[in-house]
Amino acid sequence: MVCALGLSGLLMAAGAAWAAPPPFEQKMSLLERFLKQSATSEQVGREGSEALRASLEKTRALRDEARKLYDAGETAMAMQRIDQAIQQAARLSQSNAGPDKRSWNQQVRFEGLMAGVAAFADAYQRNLSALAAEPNRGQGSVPPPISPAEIVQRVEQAQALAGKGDLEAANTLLTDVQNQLVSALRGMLNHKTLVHELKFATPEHEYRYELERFSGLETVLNMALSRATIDENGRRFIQEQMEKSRTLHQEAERSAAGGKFQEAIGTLEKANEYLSRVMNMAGMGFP
Amino acid sequence: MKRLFPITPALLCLLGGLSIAVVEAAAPADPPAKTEAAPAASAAQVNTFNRLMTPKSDRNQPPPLDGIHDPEGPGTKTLQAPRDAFSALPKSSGGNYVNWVQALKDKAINPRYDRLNPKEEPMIMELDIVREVKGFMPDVVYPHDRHTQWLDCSNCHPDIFVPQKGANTISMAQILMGQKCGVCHGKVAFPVSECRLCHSKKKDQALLKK
Ligand code: HEC
Ligand code: HEC
Ligand code: HEC
Repeated sequence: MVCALGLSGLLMAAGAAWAAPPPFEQKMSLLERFLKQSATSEQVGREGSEALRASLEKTRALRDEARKLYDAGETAMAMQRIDQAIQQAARLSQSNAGPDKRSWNQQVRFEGLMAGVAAFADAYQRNLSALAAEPNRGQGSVPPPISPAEIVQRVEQAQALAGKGDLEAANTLLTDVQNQLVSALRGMLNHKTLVHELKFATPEHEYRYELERFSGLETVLNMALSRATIDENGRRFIQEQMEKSRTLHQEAERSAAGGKFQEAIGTLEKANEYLSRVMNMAGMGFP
Repeated sequence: MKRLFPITPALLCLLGGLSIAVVEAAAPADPPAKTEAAPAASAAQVNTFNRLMTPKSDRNQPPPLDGIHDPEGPGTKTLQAPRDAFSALPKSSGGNYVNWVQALKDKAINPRYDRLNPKEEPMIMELDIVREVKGFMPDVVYPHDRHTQWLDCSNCHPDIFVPQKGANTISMAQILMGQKCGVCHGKVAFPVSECRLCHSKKKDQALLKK
């Protein structure tokens, strides 16, 4: 099918993709595809050695565990588990040196290239507009010409090739497109400094930022505590400090619920300071 | 060091129907020989991934003891111990105590950019991204040049970072948990303890007082 979609369509598609399914589900679907549809898993299940079969079983077990953790809200651990499962799957297809190994690698590469091209095309478009808006465009910084129509055409061509099963040719084509985009971006951005200012639209946004810090720091600390070798006294002290920070956190939540965000921010900042100090105690190298 | 990282996002963009699915996968082209951490040990990963934050006396152990290489592997014992290998390199105060940026600059090391092609040269990009930080902590400067000397764009984009300034949320907790910058820093690059290497842009004192 010939697709009459302009670069902006491709870019919109790329943009939409970032907001698309959570990473866990994305990984899960790739893994499921391997487990349910790949020649490797079929072949191993049918005639694989004992070790290979055990490896396949382990992949399935890791997947199940990942799903359970994810459903229980343990997202970070679920992500770790699914990564382990995917690594196990990749190793399996490596050790099963059949044609499937090649296609698995090519397929992963194809998908990676598609994502890369979409992301860089987006950055390219954005920077082109920014450059056009600059009052005195630097003479030396004219980007090498690369036509958006050509990007779209070549991406379509690569997809057609992939559709016919010629992933290798598709990947060669996409690598070339990606290289062109990267060199265009280098031409536009080299020797620049871009500043991302930390600005909060409303006090509530700032409060959310501190809240995220709080829960992040608490998670890290709990992980560190469950494992670090800290003596009884140290442990008690750390727990006291964490207790204080939790009290402050609750106080902040009350202020925020009453709409007093400025007050809530101040309280939460104090809580975060406690936690940062405790990080040091737990040997996390925070000054 | 090209494609150092196994994580590859996959975008299946069916332009015809415009239905989009993104699949993110970790599928190493060359899976490491090492056995992965047992799931049971995972409740407390912080110090595991921040392996460079182990006590000084325990760092840079010989390969059979480093917890990275397979102690049973036939090749492990033939590898040069890092303490010998690193002795001639410029020093740093953390991690594995080598200033790798300096080592590369001084040509004390000459890493191959591509594992298979000795002639391949890196495509270096000199773009700094400054990320402002609240309060007194100096702002973070992310330097593309010192990364692209070793790494391919695809090691980070778009899987770890969307290539758009400020589009990614990054926090110290995430970094400590091995995400974002922490995918590498604390594992294969200098660890979180070296605050000033990342937080390198001092704030304008006059502005701070306001
Ligand atoms: C080690 C990781 C890493 C590598 C490798 C890397 N980048 Fe980046 N890049 C970043 C980070 C971090 C940002 C800032 C993201 C943010 O602020 O949210 C960024 C931002 C960008 C941006 C956004 C600029 C804008 O328009 O706002 C572009 C374009 C970009 N990178 C291109 C590249 C290219 C091309 C390469 C390879 C030559 C590359 N990057 C290699 C980490 C990396
Ligand atoms: C894909 C791996 C990777 C990621 C992700 C990554 N880095 Fe790095 N970084 C490296 C490597 C490798 C080096 C060079 C070796 C070293 O210095 O330990 C380095 C060096 C640096 C340096 C240079 C230090 C010096 O001595 O001059 C800074 C600063 C830095 N990184 C900051 C960051 C920040 C901030 C982020 C996240 C926004 C980040 N890095 C993400 C791999 C990475
Ligand atoms: C590998 C680079 C790196 C190192 C090393 C590092 N930081 Fe950061 N830090 C960052 C980045 C990136 C951010 C996110 C900035 C933003 O909000 O955009 C950050 C944010 C912060 C923040 C504000 C938000 C938060 O998450 O708490 C504090 C405070 C902070 N760092 C303290 C430290 C201290 C203290 C150290 C040393 C123990 C340190 N950092 C080491 C990269 C680093």
